[in-house]
Amino acid sequence: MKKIFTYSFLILLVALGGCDKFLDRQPLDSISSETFLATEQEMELGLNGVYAASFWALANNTPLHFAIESATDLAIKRTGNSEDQVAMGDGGPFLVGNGLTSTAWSQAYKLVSRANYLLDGMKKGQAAAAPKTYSRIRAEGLVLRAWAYYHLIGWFGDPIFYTKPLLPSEYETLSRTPVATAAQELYKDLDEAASLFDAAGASPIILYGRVNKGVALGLKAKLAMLIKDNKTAAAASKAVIDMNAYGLNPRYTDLFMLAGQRNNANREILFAQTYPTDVLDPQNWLAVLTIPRQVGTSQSSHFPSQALFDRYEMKDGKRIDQSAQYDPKNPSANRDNRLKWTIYSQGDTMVHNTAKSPSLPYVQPKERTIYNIYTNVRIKWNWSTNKYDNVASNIDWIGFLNSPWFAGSTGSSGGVGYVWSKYIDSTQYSWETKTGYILMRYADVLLTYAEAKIELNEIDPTVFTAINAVRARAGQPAVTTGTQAALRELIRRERAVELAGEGVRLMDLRRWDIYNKAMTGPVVGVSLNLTDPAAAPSFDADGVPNYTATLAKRLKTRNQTRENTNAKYKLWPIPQGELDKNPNLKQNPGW
Amino acid sequence: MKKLTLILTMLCTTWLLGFSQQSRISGKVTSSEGGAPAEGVSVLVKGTKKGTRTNSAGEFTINASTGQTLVLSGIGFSSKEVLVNGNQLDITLASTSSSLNEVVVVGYGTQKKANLTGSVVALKQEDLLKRQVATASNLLQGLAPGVTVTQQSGRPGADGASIRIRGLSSIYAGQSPLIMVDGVVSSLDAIDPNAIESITILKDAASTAIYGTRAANGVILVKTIRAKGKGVKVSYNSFVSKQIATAMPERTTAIEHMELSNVAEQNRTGSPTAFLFQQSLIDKYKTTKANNLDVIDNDWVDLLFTNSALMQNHNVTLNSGGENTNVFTSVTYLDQQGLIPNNSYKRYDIRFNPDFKLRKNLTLSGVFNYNFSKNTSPSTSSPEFIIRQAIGLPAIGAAKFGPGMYGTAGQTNNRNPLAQAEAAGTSVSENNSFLSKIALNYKPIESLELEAYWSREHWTPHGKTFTKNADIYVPNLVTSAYDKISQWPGSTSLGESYSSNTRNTMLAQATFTQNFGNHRLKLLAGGQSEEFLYEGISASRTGFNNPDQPYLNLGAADRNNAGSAYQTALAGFYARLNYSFDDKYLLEVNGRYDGSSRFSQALNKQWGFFPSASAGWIFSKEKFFDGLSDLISFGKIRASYGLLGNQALPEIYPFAVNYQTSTYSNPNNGTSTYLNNVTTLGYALLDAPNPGITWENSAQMNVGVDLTVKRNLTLTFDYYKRTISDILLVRPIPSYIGLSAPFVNAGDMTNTGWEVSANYKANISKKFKLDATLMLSDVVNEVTALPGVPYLDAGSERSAVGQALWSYFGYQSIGYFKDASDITSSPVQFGVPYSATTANGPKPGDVKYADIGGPDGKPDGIIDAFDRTFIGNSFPRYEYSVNLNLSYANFDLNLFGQGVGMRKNYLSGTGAIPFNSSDFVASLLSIHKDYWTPTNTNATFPRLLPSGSGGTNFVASDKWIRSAAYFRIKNINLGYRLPSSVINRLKITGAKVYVSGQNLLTFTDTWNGFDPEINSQTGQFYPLMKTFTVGVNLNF
Repeated sequence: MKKIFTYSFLILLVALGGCDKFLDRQPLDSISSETFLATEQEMELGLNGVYAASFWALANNTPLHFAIESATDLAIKRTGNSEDQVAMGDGGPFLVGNGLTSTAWSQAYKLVSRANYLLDGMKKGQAAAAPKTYSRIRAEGLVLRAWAYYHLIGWFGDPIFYTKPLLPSEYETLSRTPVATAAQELYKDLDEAASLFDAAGASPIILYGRVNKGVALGLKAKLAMLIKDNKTAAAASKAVIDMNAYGLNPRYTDLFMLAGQRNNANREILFAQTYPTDVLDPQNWLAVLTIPRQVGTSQSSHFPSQALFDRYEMKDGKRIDQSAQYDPKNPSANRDNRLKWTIYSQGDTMVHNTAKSPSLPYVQPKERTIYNIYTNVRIKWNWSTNKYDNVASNIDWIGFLNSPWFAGSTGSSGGVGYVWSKYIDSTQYSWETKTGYILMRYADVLLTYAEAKIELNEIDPTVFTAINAVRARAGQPAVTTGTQAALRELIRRERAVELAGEGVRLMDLRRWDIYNKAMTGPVVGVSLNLTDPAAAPSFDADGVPNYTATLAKRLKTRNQTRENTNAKYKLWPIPQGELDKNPNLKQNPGW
Repeated sequence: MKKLTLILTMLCTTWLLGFSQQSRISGKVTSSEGGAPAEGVSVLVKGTKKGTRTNSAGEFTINASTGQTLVLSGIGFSSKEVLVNGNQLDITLASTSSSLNEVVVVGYGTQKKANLTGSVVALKQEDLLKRQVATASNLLQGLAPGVTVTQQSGRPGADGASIRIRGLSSIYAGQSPLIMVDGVVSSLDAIDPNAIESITILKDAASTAIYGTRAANGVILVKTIRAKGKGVKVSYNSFVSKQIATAMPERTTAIEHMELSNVAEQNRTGSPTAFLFQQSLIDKYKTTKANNLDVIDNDWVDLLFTNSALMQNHNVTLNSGGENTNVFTSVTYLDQQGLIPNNSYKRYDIRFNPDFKLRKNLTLSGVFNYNFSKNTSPSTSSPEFIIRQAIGLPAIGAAKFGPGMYGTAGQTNNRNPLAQAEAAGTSVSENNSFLSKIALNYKPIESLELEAYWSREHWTPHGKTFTKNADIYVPNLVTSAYDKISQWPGSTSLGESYSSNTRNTMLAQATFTQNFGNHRLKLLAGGQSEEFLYEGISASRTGFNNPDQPYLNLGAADRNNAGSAYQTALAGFYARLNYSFDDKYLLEVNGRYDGSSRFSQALNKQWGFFPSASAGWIFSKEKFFDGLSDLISFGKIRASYGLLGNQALPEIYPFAVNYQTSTYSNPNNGTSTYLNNVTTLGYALLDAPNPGITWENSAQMNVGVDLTVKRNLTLTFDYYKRTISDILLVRPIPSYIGLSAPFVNAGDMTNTGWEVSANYKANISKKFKLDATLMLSDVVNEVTALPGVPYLDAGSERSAVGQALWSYFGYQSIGYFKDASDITSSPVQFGVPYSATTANGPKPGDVKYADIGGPDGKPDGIIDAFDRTFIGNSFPRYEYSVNLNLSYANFDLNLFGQGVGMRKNYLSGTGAIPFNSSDFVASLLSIHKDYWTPTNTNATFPRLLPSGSGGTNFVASDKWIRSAAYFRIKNINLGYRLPSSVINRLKITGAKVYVSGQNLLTFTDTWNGFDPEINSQTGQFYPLMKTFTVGVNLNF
């Protein structure tokens, strides 16, 4: 008995000694940060979570890129909103706590953080995963993280560059990394991603909404352009072209309709922010945001600008101030087709779907309206009589002719006589629209390539091939010769008109160093009187229009003037809360 | 181990040197009181330096010659000289102060009370059983200074009290003390009070540090009864109690409701003719008796409180002592009915505590405890919410027209508390629990005791919530009958859950005790492990057609199920050294090396070391004190300091966070993506993990004095300071981290307090005995650091540096606005200036607030959020109790009162606001009738306003902070022991009958109808109970 006791006593002590195993308890019924990403399936789920963080949006289902576009010279946002404050600069006022810039900051870093957890966490499952799957998932994670950093660099300058999950003790120790250093790291990541996509055998496109090799290299090109590394940009965009995997969709308008995106002819769309058709939320509310209020239940909050409208060439390939075809009394006639594909203006027939029909598909009722801003009448199609009715109370765009447009606080409109037609897909109920928001398409790659080569002054036939492919789809005449300066002006115009509303403009302004100039001046619009119309503006060497001469004859929204001459506006300010929490962070100059 | 060998060798040598040529005398010393073994009594051979001490069995051996004299002395005993007249001596020492001789249970061992150096309160069964309660936690109220026991509910099965030892200690982590029953983690409310032999409360770090990471909030040790003595003794204990709510607010009648509603409407509109109820209707009510048809005048509380509210408890214990086998058995049945229908608690408890003496030095003992409990309450709302409706609903709301015929209660949603309680289904939770513990105790040599045990407790709670429809009727004035208009809630559902819970505890320890000369040494070392395993499933369905068949198979729709599991483990190695010299100088050193599964193994965060030390000086034993020993027969000064941990973080796995999933993707917390326009589930971290998270730490200093004055007055005084650090906080983090902020160990707070208790015992005559105890204590909590966090808000409460945790935070009221010019000359209230023509904004009779701050901290002429300040807190201060035990011949009487000297209570919701509009259309209480009018400007309440129109009158302010100081006669218990003549005739060995009452009398300033013990009153509570009990104890 004594022995038994002694032995059991000793056994107990030994058992207690095996403590490490005994104390190793991990969450059982939940997916724990300690154990997750150990299997292929978990890596896929984790990757999806990273994609979810690439879904950038403001309130009201506004894609972030579209909101940012509204803070550029190509667009206008209803007065008083954060996008408008950014655009107005000193007159906004554009302050450090601005909602748009703070949201952009936090959403982009959320993507960084999630990608870091994926890329770090999936290592624990590398041995167990099929190499092809592992490679693809890692590649996608690398591209998504670079996607975030590309934007952060463009918006805020030197990023807080971190590539691993952090411990709480490290949170407030980070500091900013020079753009050049970060970019080199991102080049490496994107090159690795491109080769991993090859290794995975998944190069050209995987699934609509996913990133792929084309996005990896296309993003590398965009990043290189942003930091004026034209050589790298040319090589990277060339590499995308040489994949022969992507092309232009023959129908431009298909790009901005759900059905066309699903078809994705020639795989023009490389990457998009997608929306679910199997559940109600979320939606893409571009239509809701842009449709004028008097057409139906909608927001009337985002508008194209006069500066965009005037950039579209005439059909003869000339700028409006240079072409004999331009008629100030009928300014939208004989213009580049992309004008109508992008903007509704006076006299255009607008078709909107703002009321939910009782059953699917939501085709009826549609609102068909002839855009008419010069009389107090709304010309509305009557679906019963199949005729246009003249409806009084055209309040949204009339009434400002005698007083400044919507100087009051109603704010139902802040436009300058134009409405977006891009992304208006009247086959879908506007409040439940599922059209994806394009984040990268092949036309952008082609124009990036051309621009890089022009900047390198390596103007060879491939440059013209690239530009003309894009122009040809719009029916614009081919360009065959030109000086570097002339082609630079052309490519900048081409980017504006091809990609307007698609969220690339801010980066373009930044890298061309014309933000301060393009974003300064009165917010002008249509001619006040079509019988005595304003003449075409003049354009400077950078293609920035000047309205000084025609100011008196133009609509001047809210009598406001964008004021962005201060050099600080070259970058957005870091949200103050971040600086308060981490003294190692320094604010951008001037803020 | 080498050190231990060395010590053993030294000790043996010392012992051997003690041998001489004399004969070996052995003896046993017992106390005059109860014949208990007298441990630690010094035995000296007179005129020599030879001496020893008695062991825990009171035994000693010494070498002495016949004819020599032994001098025996010990704490709490009169000294005695005994002539050596044989080899075996049986000596009885007269007890002077029996309590000092008591051996009390301490962490992993026992200690003589006189030798304690920490702050420890020991309670015996007879202290506890004077009160008849269902849950053991309530027994501790007022019995230990510095132990704050607050009961917040009288709901059957949920009336256990919360226990805080020496103040509040954390913001997010657990604040409850560690409770060990027979060495196994448990809950006080899981144990049958009839089976408790003793409860020890360890308060300071010196006493608790041996429990390491679980010691920070104090430790409560419960020992269950083990059989003693020889032969079989059976006792039957039974009581029946009638329970009545201590306090219920008085309601208004139908006529009052209507008239005052009109007054409120007139105040709101400013029109003296405005009304909500036509005068003709009011007149009809005044002339017609309530008929439940067109004149309805219900007292909802009376209608609802129809359950018997009886509590009965029956207990049989069997104490069987034999040569080698002792068995204690206890069987208990408890039934507690609530105030409202379908609200009750039942418990069966079967306990079997056997001890087997396998050898002279080897004992096997066990604890086997089966416990079943069943808790029933209405399923559609909590009993508290049902009671709040009964308090708040208007008397004109229709309640019930006949069996199963319920009225709409005047609510558009037809929710009727009577229907909820009686007819809409029940929520039943049952729990079967079984605990087995086997322990071996082995003494290979006299001075060494080895002990090991293994225990496994398994419990399987089962919850079943069935909701069925009650029929709602309305009176039909044409037919004078009732029409069924709908059913409430309109759907049926059943939810069930089962879980399996297992706790395994293992322990092995060795105790080495040796005395040499005046040096006494006790060494304890051991290891303990514990693991807890949980697994549960739940399922639910809706659409049940038969209300009598609540089984999942019969539910037609919404079939849902879920399963979950988690585990925790703890391991610790502990040691204690007790050393005393000359019974005057006491030293204790404790330490525990503790490991917890709750922290990261990868980062090596699981293990921590928690040391403590304490020392005591029994100055009354010093020579210089001899002259005073008649006045002060015992005096001790003690001091302790130690470090403790609190591992009870809010998460089971705080070092990890969950990857979460949601189908909806939004930019803030979405996890899914929409590849090819199809929802594609993803997982993402939303909260930042903090793998480096660790326990909250604390340090506690304690100094104390114990005095015995004139042998029958004992005084204890303690002063302490608890400094708690590394308190979990959620500190906002930069958004570039991309995650929600994690818990970090960052905050600090202190609790400073003192405790006094005085006990006076006297046998005034042979028949008349008196035992009185007075206790008083205070503790002040202060948050001393919240790095990176300006403050923490929780509704009307705020925690900030320099303030007590969760202090009330609100405006300062300065009476009522007298008239319009008073308003216009006062700071603008909440941005709304005075207007005579609109209903908005302040009016005469509204509460006026003081302008004490602004954006820059200075009064700015505007009343807004900057004018809030700290206005008290609900943690009690100056807690006191009086406990008087008188016995005269066969009668004994216990009078027990408990009180709180200072405390605040914030009253809101249905309790404070007339026509309070949250959750249901409400009436007002009788207290609200004292409202402001131009002629009643000193009213308790502001001008009367209708539902939802109270404006700013009821924002959190000191106006609604009431003193909740109270003194309450907690217990009166009068017992009578049947005289032996009767007992002999009944052929039993003892019998006692008693009557008792609890919470009989309360003295407080709180509003009538609101119990001062219940915090932050919103009118939603289950009243505490006033009970009247008859009981009997029979011994066979």
